Amino acid sequence: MASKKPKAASAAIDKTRVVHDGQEYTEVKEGLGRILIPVSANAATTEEDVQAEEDRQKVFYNPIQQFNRDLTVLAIKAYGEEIAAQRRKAAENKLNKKKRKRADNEETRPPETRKAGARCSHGWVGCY
Amino acid sequence: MDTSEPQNDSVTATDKAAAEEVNTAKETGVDTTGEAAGAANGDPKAGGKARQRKPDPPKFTILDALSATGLRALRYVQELPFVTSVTANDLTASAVEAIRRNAEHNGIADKVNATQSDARAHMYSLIAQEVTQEHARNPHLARRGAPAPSKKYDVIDLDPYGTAATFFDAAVHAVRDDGGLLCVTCTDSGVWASHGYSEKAFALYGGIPVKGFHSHEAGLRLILNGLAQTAAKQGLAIEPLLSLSIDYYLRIFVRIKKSPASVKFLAGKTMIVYSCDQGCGSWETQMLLRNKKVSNNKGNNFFYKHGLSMGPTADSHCAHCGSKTHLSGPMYGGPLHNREFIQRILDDLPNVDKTVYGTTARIEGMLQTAFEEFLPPPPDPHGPIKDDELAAIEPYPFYFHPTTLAGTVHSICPDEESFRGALRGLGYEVTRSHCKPGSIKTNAPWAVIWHIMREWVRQKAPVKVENIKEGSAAYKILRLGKDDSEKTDEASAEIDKLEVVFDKAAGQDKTKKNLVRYQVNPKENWGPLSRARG
Repeated sequence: MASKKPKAASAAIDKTRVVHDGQEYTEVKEGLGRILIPVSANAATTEEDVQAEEDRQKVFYNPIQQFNRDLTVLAIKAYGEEIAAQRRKAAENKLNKKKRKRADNEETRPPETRKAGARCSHGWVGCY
Repeated sequence: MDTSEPQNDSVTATDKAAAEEVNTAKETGVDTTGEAAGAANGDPKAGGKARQRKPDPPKFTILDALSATGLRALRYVQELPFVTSVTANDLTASAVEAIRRNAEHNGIADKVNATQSDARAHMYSLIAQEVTQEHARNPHLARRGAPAPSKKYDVIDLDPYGTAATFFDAAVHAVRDDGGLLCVTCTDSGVWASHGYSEKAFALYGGIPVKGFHSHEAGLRLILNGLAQTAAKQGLAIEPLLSLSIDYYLRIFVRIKKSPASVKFLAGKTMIVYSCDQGCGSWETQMLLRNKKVSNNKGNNFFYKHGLSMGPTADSHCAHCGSKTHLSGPMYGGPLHNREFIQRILDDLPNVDKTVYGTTARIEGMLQTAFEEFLPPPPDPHGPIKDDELAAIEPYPFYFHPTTLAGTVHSICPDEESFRGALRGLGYEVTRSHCKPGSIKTNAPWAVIWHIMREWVRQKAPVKVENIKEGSAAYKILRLGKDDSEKTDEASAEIDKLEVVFDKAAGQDKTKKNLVRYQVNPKENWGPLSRARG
């Protein structure tokens, strides 16, 4: 959270250097996610070192799999939006039903049927 | 929370609205959880009467079972507004530390639950808990009341380095059994798409791979077979929503549902393949059981019987070229995709932000191609019934390339349009597979395909007959040794009479321009890279 704000219109994959909790990292952005890849303590001086450092970092992030991740996010979205909507509706229905029942209890029912501890046909208390 | 605002800038409009909804819910989080608890206890007073109650966002959880840096988990939380929490699991302490650091860096530490465990142990722990609790509630197995709320995940993502087969069993236990989603990657293409490690493929996926141009579809079917058979043992049925062969790996999305009735159809949707992999490249398939639609006693309705299959339906030598055939499978013989699901992703694509999803062009091309893979099944004389969906098989699995056909008969390769035109001229459907560029998927039988190739050689591309060895596949298919006295059966005589026209115009496809159907080299030096150690 201490780091800088993401650019809204940046490329899908973007690498920058950031400092987090006093340690230096390479920040890789993909989609809306940002991961920190630790940079080696010993600074890379020779070309070989730079290459070795790059190879080491490849273990953390494989850009070729961006397709897999993009696809998966969109697939879960297609799958989940429908389910979330169904569940939201079910929860609302349940709530409305409860509300209706309570309203029934308080207003429409004649007072004599609302005796304390009265049981309905299910044998439950408070159900009409 | 300060980072959440700029992030929302780059989300699509619909995402944003939904994200705000979630944020509002979060702000009132304390109240709503209190209410929910009250409601769950059945106490009508707990909610308070004066306030309008808004239900909690429904729970939607994802497990990123082999999370490494947690990138997937971070993306799911931030890009999918309906997700309430993601568990990011990894075996190593350093990875879990990285996941926590990254979650904090993204400002979503409250929604990412980082756990350090073997993925299988983590997944089995859910079922262990549930079984123990269920036993405590109902020691005599008498179901009383509704089952306790499940902690199983809505979505489990398995993205290992190599095979995912070792996680199948744990995953089907830990995903919701009322239609939960499993996302599976397998990168061990050397195992499922070659003949180099057939014994290993059998151990992992329960089937033998196919050798040849269509080996990647066989790989998809092998992995689905492994998953389906693992799930079947628990009375769980799989429904493939999307099965893709991508770059060097396979990615499969399947829905898991508790349905012992559907599981009964599995053997009749599992096939073995007789492959002419040394000769002309043709294949025959056979299901292990027959899901046969039969009439009931009254004769007013139909139902499915699961009957035995005949002995080998193919000869040990290829019917077309006479070469030795090999046995492959068993593998999944049902449909690879659910078209509605693909359509839903495609419909959403124009709304997504191209700067967030850098690969949309390729996603569109590949999904459109997968969507068009569907060929209409042969007509059903009995009319539709409810169980048809459960019994659905892929009527025309696999695909070929005109080059391999031309190679077999030693001729110049027919161009794609002429070849498709010829098939369409004879009344067959032609489409392509997403697996390989240049592939042709058709409902024409192999006898017709070879008739077209004979006509191609006769009409357009004569071959040097003297160069073709006696007894070779080309020799047999071009009927070089055949004298007229030799009898052919009626069916093949009928096929021989078919008039083939190589009509390029009929072979052209009028589809959307600039569709990236196949991307051959996504980046320079691409591949699985190296395995993480530590």
